[in-house]
Amino acid sequence: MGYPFPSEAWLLALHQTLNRDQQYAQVARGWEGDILCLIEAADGPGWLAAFYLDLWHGACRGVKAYAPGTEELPAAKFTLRAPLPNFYKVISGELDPMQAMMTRRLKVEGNMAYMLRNVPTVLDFVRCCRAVEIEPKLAF
Amino acid sequence: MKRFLAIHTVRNVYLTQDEWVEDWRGLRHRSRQTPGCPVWLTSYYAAIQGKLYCEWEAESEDDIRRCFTQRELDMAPFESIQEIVRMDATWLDE
Repeated sequence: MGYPFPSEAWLLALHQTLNRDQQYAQVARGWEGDILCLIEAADGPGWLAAFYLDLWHGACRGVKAYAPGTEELPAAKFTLRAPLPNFYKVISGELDPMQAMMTRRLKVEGNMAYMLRNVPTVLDFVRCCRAVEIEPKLAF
Repeated sequence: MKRFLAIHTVRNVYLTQDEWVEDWRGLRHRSRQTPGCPVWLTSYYAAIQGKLYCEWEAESEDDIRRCFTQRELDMAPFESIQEIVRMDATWLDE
């Protein structure tokens, strides 16, 4: 069964995936940092959805989904910001995450040095995102 | 053009995405204006080991060295530049 993206159901499935995945637990054992994903509208200002993930030493300690206008967004160690099609392409495997960052299709706010030193964790986090099936398939 | 593999030891990493992207874009553009027009083709980053493996096309090793600013060399000095030959494993499928 797949999950719509973006949705709280998808985020909860990712939460479970991260905590069940032994490879992620091993690769990300040194990672300390929460992430806020801001999914922007493809055209125009504002954001469609925001996902907060508390990632700590190979585990996901908690997640929260935000809808526009509901609550103030939390400050996180990293904020990843991109229009919906770009996020979708990264988590569906169509766009390489490193390429997305190098071309600014995925904007990163936070300590880039920390992220680049932990590229294996970043790539394995994306692998776990890709393991959560998405439905319905969107076309951009 | 000859092909080279440049190996860098990464001492410092960019603090922001903008700094990283702008500096690498600058290097790519600068190389085109450097005598001999060396071409930076691709890079592989070994984050755990702190090594950067960069593939270049150039007339000489010195042409590659001339593309870099002192700041870039301080951040990721050359460990070596070796002339290489490309052998694609997919050729074995023919």
